[in-house]
Amino acid sequence: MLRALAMISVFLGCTYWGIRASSLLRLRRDTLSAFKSSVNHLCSRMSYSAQPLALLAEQAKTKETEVFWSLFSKRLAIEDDVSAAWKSAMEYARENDAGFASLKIQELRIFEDYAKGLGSSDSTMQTKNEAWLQQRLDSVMSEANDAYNRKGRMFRSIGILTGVAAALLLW
Amino acid sequence: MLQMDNKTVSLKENWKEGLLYLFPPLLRETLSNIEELPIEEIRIRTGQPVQLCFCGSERLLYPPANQTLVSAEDCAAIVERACEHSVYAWQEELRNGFLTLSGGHRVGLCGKAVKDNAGIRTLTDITSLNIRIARACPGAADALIPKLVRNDGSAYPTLIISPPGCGKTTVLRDLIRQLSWGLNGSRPMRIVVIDERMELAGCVRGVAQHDLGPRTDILNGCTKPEGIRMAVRTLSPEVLATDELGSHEDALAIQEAAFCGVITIASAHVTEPTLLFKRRVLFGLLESGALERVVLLGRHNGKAGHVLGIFDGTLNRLTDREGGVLCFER
Repeated sequence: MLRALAMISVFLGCTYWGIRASSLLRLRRDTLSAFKSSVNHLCSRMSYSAQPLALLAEQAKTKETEVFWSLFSKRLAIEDDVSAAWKSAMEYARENDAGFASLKIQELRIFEDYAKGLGSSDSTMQTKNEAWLQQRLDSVMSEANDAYNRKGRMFRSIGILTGVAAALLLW
Repeated sequence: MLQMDNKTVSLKENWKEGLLYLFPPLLRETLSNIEELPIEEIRIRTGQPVQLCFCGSERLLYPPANQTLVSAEDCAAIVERACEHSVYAWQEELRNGFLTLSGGHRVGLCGKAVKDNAGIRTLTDITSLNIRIARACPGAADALIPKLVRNDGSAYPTLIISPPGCGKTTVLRDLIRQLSWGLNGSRPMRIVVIDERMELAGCVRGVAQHDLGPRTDILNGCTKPEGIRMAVRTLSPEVLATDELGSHEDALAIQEAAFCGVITIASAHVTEPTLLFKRRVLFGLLESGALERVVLLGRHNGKAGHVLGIFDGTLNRLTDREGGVLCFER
């Protein structure tokens, strides 16, 4: 009886680990994609509406990125500059959302570089700033997709197989 | 509320609450300790002491030893904060060289002009700012209304003249407000303000920061000739109000409006009435009857807002020569 329970626990534990590792890759991919889309939305509205950045940021949020944009919008009224508001909102998002927590340091640096120019120049420069960000994000997205497609499947498979093997060993 | 000589100078908002957030930390702390009232302007120049302009005097704020009170980056940051971190949304204002903030405060900008085929596209590399602190002066036109209103309560077409910085805009603003409400013997009138430089109403995102009365429509950022024609065609004004008349096109539009029975109230930079003879554009309006009253404002003992004389359309004085009347005190 105990052995059977141990087998099931080991199998479930290993499978869970594999699925979790795969889902983190999926979360990273989805968060990057959602963020890319919301930045695109933000910049489109910037180019044709004269609304302040705080309002546009609030409107740019999606289900996956709401935790970031909502706080960023609020912090703009308090912080001295956009970079400080961005950093503060990103730290909060990483603490409270698994998707943002899964982002790599290089990706955070790309966003910080973008934030340095956000709102500080005319709409032509804002469009160029956004185009530069999208270009950098394209290569990151491509790598994230690739990572999920290859490694995601691999982690799920390894998790299940390891679970089966460990369960068999116990038996 | 500060009361002087029966004229109430109301501090529309404590300027520190409305403006301190703009400044870098060192300057913010220094300015928060300033207690003298009232400050008219704060002039900031990169690498220079900050100049505070009071009524009839000024003061320079120097930084502590080995520190810079305001750097080039600070000037850029002030502009960014004034634009609510949304410089892209303030392109028209930057092109005109000034920003209007909530509360009606104005920030004049100096920097590098970026040009395109149409002229100046924007200003960058801002090196100095002039922050003019807005104050509402309800009652500033009290001394004028009796001489500017006919028996039936309608207003005479009026030109307010003075050298720069003597309170023309402040008096004009209150005159508009009183005519819109129908105060002090006037009857309520429909007024359209052609606010080309966005100074009279001080609109921010469509919201007027100064009270111009309940029957006042504002054409914001519109040139005077275009605005006057639009107003006459579509808004059926009884009074047109505008600031800083000067060009031939402005005068032509006002003349056309006068032919339609619309009264004009305006201001112009002229130091004394006799100089109107040399300003053919303005004198032509007096000759034709499009303007029937001239109000001369000036400074007395260094203080702006003194009515030095009110004249009729032939420049005959209607008020006593001696003393003058204080319209408001800052």
